Parts: sequence; C-alpha cells; structure tokens
Amino acid sequence: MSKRPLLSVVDDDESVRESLPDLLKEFGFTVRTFSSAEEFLASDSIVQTKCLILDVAMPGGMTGLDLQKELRRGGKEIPIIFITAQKDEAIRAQALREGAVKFLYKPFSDTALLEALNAAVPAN
Amino acid sequence: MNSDTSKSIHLGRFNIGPRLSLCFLVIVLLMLGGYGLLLWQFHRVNARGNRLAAVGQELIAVSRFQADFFKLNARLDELAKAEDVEGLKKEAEPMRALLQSDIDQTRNAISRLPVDLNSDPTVLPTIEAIQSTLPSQLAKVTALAEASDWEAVRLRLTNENKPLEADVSALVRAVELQVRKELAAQLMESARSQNRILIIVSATAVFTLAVAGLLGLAVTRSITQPLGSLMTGSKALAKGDFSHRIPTQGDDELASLSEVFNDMVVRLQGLYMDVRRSEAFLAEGQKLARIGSFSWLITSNEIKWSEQLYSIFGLESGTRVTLDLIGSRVHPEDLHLMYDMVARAQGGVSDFEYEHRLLMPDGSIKYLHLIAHANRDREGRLEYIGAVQDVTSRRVSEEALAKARSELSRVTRTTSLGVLTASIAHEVNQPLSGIITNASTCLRMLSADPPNIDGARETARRTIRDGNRASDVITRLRTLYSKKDPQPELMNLNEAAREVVSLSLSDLQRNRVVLRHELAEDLPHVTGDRIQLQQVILNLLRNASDAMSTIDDRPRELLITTERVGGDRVRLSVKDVGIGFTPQSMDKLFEAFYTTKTDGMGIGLSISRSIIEAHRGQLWATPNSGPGATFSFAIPCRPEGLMDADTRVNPANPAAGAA
Repeated sequence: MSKRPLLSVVDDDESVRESLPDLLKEFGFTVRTFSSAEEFLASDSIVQTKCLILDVAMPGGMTGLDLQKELRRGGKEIPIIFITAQKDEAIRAQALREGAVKFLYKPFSDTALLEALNAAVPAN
Repeated sequence: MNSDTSKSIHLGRFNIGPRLSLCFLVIVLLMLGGYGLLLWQFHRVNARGNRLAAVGQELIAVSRFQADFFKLNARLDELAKAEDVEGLKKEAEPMRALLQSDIDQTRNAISRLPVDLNSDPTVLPTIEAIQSTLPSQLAKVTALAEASDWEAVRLRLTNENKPLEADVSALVRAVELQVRKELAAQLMESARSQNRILIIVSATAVFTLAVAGLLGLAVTRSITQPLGSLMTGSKALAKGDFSHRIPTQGDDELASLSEVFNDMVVRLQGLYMDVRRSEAFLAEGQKLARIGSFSWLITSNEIKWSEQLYSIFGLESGTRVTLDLIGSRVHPEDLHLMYDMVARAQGGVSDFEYEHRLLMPDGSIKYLHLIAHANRDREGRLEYIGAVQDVTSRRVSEEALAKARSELSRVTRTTSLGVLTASIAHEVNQPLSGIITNASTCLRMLSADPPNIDGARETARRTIRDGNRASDVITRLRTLYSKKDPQPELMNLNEAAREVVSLSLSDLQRNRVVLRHELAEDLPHVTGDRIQLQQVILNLLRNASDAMSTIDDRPRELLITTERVGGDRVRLSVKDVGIGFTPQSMDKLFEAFYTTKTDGMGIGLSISRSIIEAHRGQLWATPNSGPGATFSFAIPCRPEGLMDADTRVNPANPAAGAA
C-alpha cells in the first residue's frame, strides 16, 4: 500500500496533539488527533485507524482504559499504544492485559515510539 | 547564791501554794515564839509581884495586929488608970474580938504565902501564943477589975501584956524585913525581865526578819526564775526560734508549765515544718505548672501575688501590685478585656474567667488563663481568690498542632510522597515529552532530503515553548507546594469570584462560554485564604468550561451562584450544561490532581477539595437534572481552629470576634 496508514492520537493535552503528529508524519503516517475518547468514538476514524495512540488520564470523561474497553466491547480491535505521564503499574498491567501493544511513559524517545509502531502496524 | 538555788530546788518540790503557806507559817511561828518568851517574862514578873503582894498582905495584917494590940494595951492602961470597971467590961470583948480577927487575917495572909518563901517561922507561933493567952489574960484582968484590985490589974498589964508588945514589934520588924527582901527581889527581877524582854523582842524581830527575808527571797526566786525562763522561752518562740527549750527543775506547777511549754514548742515546730513543706510543694507545683495565685481585696484594691505570678509577669518578687501595674503588662489589644473584668469584679460577680495576652518588655507574647472566685473575708469585705496559668506553650502547641494537622491533611489529601513525585513527574513530563517529540521531529526533518527547514523551525519553536512550560510548571508547583501558612483574612466570596471571573473572562469567551452570575447580596464575610479559594473557583470555572467544550447544540451557559446557608455557612456553585459525569466516574473526577491546559497548570479537583476541607468546608458535585453538572463548595463563615472564639481576640481580625 502506498497510502500512508492512519494513526489516531487521542490526548487531552494540546502540546501532544501539536508535537506528536509531526513526528508521526516523519515516520510516514497520516495522523488525526482527538482531544477526548468521546470525540474519537463519535468520529468516523475508527474504521480506518490502523493504530491508536492513546493517553490514559483524560479528565472529564472516558479515560484511555475506558476507551480500550469500549473498543473491545464494540469488537473494534485496533492496536493501541498507550502514552501516559503517570507511572501507575496497575494501570499498565491492566492495559497490557486488555491487549495494548505498548505502554509508553512520557517523555518517550522517538525510537521507542517507532518500535512500538512497527509492532502495532507491521505492514509499515 | 548556791544556797538560794539549792533552796529553790528544795522548795521546788512543793507547789507554790504550799510553799508560800509554809513560809507564812514559819514566820508566824517565829512571832508566836517571841510572844511566848515575852509572856514568860511577864509571868515571872507577875509571880514576883504576887509574892510581894502576899508578903505585903502579911505585913499589913501583922501591922494591924500590932496597932490593935498596942491600942488594946493602951486602952487597958487607960481603963486601969481610970479604974473603969464598966468600961473595961464593955470594951474588952470587942477589942479582943478585933484582935482575934487580926490574928485570923494574919494567919490567912501567912497561909497565902508562896510555899518557897522563907517566912519567919516565929511569926505564927508568936501570934498564936498571943492568941491563946489573950483571952485568959483579959479574963483575968476583968476579974481583977471587977474585984477592984486595980493594983493587980496594973501589975498584970505591965508585966504580961507590955512585954508582948516588944514581941509583936519584933514580929512586925521581921515581916517588914521579909517584905523588903521580897521588894528587892522583885525590883531585881523586874530589871532583869526588862533586859530579857528587850533582848527577846530584838532577837525575835531580827531573827524573824532574817528568816522572812531569806525565805521570801528563796520562794520569790523559786517562782521568778522559772517564770523568767518561761518568758525567755516565749520570746524565743515569738522570734521563731524553735530550738529553745526551757530548763525544768522540780515538779511544781511551774515545772509542769515549762514541760508543757516545751512540748508545745516541739509540736509547733512540727506544724511549722509541715506548713513550710506544703508551701514549698505548692510553690514548686506552681512553678512546674506555671500557675500563680492571687488575692484581690476589692474595696482597697489590695492585691497579693504568689511568687510564681511575679515570675509569670516578669516582675520582681515583692513589688507592690496595682491594677495599673498589671495593665502595663496586658497586651494593648486585650486591655478592654481587663477593664471589663475589673468592672464585673467590682460589681460583685461570684466567679470570673478570662483569657488574655501579655505583651512582655522584650516583645514576646504570653497567653494567660485566669479564674477567680469571690469570698467574703472575716469582716465581710469582698475578696477574690484566683489563679493564673501561663498557657502560652499550650496555645503555641495547639496552634502548631492545628497548623500541622491542616498541613498534614492538606498534604496527605493531595498526595503521598510517591504520588506527589508522580504528580510532579507527570506535570513535568508533559512538556518534557513535548520537547523530546519536537526535537526528534526536528532532527528528522533536518536529515530529510531536502531538509524541511520550515518544519524544523516550527518544531524548534515548539521545543522552546515546551521548555518554558516545563519551567512554569516547576514554578507553579513550587508556589503551590510552598510551605506558606494559609493567610486567613476576612473576605467576601462574591468579590473573590468576580475577580476570578474577570481574570478568566478572555479564556471563557474564547471557549464561547456564556457567563451568568447570581451572587447573593447579603452574603456574610468568610475568613479564609483568598488566593487558595480563588484557585478553587478558577478550577471549577475551567472544569465547567472544559465540560462544555464539545457542546454545540445549546448555549454554553455557565452559572455562578453564591448564597448564605443555614446562617453560618456560605456556598458557591458553578453550574454548566456540559457533558456531565456518571456516578461511577465521580471518584475519578476528584482524583485528578491537575488539569493541563495550554497556559500551564492549574489545580485539580483533588487539591480544590483539600483547600476547601482546610477551610472546614465541603466540595461536591451533583449532576444536573438537565445536562451538565453543578460543582459546589460550602465553607463556614468563621472556621474554628484558625482563630479564637468568644472572649478571645484574634490578633489579625478584631472584628471577627463579633457575632
């Protein structure tokens, strides 16, 4: 496929939504950003998203873990790479148990992210 | 003096009464003795006199006899010359009878002579001879006269009667001699008696005086010496010398008294020591507990302090205490309390209790707790007895405890160390992550062929921005976690809310939030940390704005209300029409430490709740019946623990003590 795979970034932090897409574009992806899990669910990107880069803590609504559960329930098996600033082992364990590809702590290096992406989207 | 003391000791065996009685007895006996001797002398003289009288009587009797005899003879001679027979017959018998009576008297007198008198033994026989012959003589003479033998009469008279005259005269002379002898003896006896009497009287007087003097001296000494010792002992006791003991001698009343006195001294000493000991305990206790005691006589304003109270006030012990002196130490802001207390005391209230501060000369402050109780003294005057305790350290530790507790609750509420680290890390990691991502992107862009300079520039710019944001985070974290005491002040929540609103108005308007407010007009002032409360309000506003950020089908109305609740609390509510929350997610809501926005970091609901709870209030959220949620907090108007209540004055807020 010459078309660049679609990545969806869901994070309430605006600086993440600013900086991450450029990096991902450098990696060769197309990117859509969403500021909340609800926004993502309401969008039409679910089907096309090859990989979800998901923040854990998103106050005011569904958390990343909630979205992960919701997608599984809905049968939408999108590979998820979690990014978070909080070091909480329990959350990490649960996320991985629920099938997350990778659980990255901010700040993460670009190589770590690339590795995770390669694992999530092997076709690239 | 030895004899005196020995006499005292000797006398000391008797009680004073018998002692004195004995002295009097001795003196009286001596005097009686003297009298006795005098009487003896008088008796002797008297005896002599009696003897003389007796002999005198003899002389008189004999002399009378002689006279009568001579008269008889003379008469007989006359009658014989006159040859008067009748006369003779007539007179002879009475004259003979007279002589007979004289003889009887003489015999009488003689018989009355004291036995030891050497009377002339011839007297009586002579008289008796005459007595026996006289009647016959007279009879013969009469017979002869009757016979008119006058020659024979005259012859008989001359030869027989006349010679008798000489005998009688000799008799008289003998008796006279006796009388003279007796007289001489009498005179001598008198003279001797006079001497003796003189001696007796003098001797008795002197002796009696001497004995009386000595006895008197001895007895007096035996009384005054112990009395003197008692006096000395009493004086020593009055001076406070408990070691003095009175020497006791003998076993009279004074000795008993001395013993009793000594016992009393020992007992007093014991009592005194006990009192001193309990005084020392009391003083020590007062010192340990930092309590001083005082008495205050209202009418004269006489005030007495215990040593510890002087120490509390930092004044020299023994200084005269006046209300002015006390007032000079009372903290100026608490002086009105002191005046109030004085007024109530002078009005005669039965108890009072106050807390006020002292401002010491070195500027330090002491907290005092005072209680007093009214008493009537013996004369019925009103007097207060009370105690004052220095509760500064308690107050200081209470305040430190309250501060530590609030600090602890704040810190534990907001975070444990691990979580704190995590939250700091979290907040710093956000911009850091941005930096790394942007820098990585920049590198890649620069290594592309051709290099994406514009992109690199943009990413570099974002890197710098994120770096600044990180530093802002640190700064805000530092301010938020600085160990500053909450700065409580009397404030109006409406004003605070208005300020916050005006500050965030641009933000809110950018998010197309429509702001409405219904702020209660009579909202009472609250005491709290203005900055912190404003942070909470800001947090609520931002959350409300966020919750509505995806709402497009209705106006993004945000309603702020303030109202008074229950008379002593104030409530602020922020109502939005946003996405709301489910009951399950409410806990998670309050777990958020911070919200991260482009303009940096604000506090999250967790910290907001801690702040409100530190103000003794509550923060909660309720879903609306329509869309959205309402977040509210309520705080009391005068939170306890931060300041004093009732009669105590808050140094920062004198007005807070009211209502």
